[in-house]
Amino acid sequence: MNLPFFNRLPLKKIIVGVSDESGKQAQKVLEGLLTELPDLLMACVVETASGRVLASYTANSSYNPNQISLRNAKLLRTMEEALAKKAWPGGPLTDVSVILEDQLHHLRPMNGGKWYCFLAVRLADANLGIAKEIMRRHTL
Amino acid sequence: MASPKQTIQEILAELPTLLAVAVVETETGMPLASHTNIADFDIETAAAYNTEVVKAKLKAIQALKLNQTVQDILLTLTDQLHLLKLSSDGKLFVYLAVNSRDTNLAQARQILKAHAGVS
Repeated sequence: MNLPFFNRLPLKKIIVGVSDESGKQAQKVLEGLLTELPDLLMACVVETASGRVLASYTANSSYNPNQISLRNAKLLRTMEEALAKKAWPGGPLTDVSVILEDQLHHLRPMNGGKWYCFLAVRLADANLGIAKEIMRRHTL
Repeated sequence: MASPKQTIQEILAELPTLLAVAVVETETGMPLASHTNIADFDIETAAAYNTEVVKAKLKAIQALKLNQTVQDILLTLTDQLHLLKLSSDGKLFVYLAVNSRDTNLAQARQILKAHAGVS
């Protein structure tokens, strides 16, 4: 049965997608990000190989982590392939930032590249330097 | 509007220590003009992968229906910074790779911003 009520994304709440230890760890990452960036638009921790969302938080129903988890996973795989084939000079990827008109998307591989953490924030609420630093600290 | 070749020369004049720079056609992933300071660096392959990164990221943004244009994409590697700056119509992008020891993100972004009006 497809009830729209159940499909609605709970807003401003951390949703943990898996019940094991990795879910708890992912939840902790998001809690840390939220303490420092309470105005963030969306954050999620995703398993890179499968695109499975381990935990997510969104402030707005149009920011659906399930719609971008696989696409970002594909983006990371493309970059890993480029590095593995030496198409790019230089070493492992630390993070990726995308600057849009009034917001910033930041993507950082974590847990030895097995997961990634994604953050979307308004440029009015944070800047690139802050976002990078906060992500670095919480995804160790 | 500067030509791709002029753009490369201007960026190179401002950042002589850069690792690689290229003006790439988004549709084909082929460089229109490029320069590299690393001997065995295959700029065509790098450009092709960069195009995939741009496309993958644009798809992710489109999936969210944000109605926003991508200003630039920054990849941080352990010792390098790679920047991708799209032209206003999105048909071309400028790719710049620098060593993070001698050029910081703000410098690299400003230089790209000044030369993104390529056609």
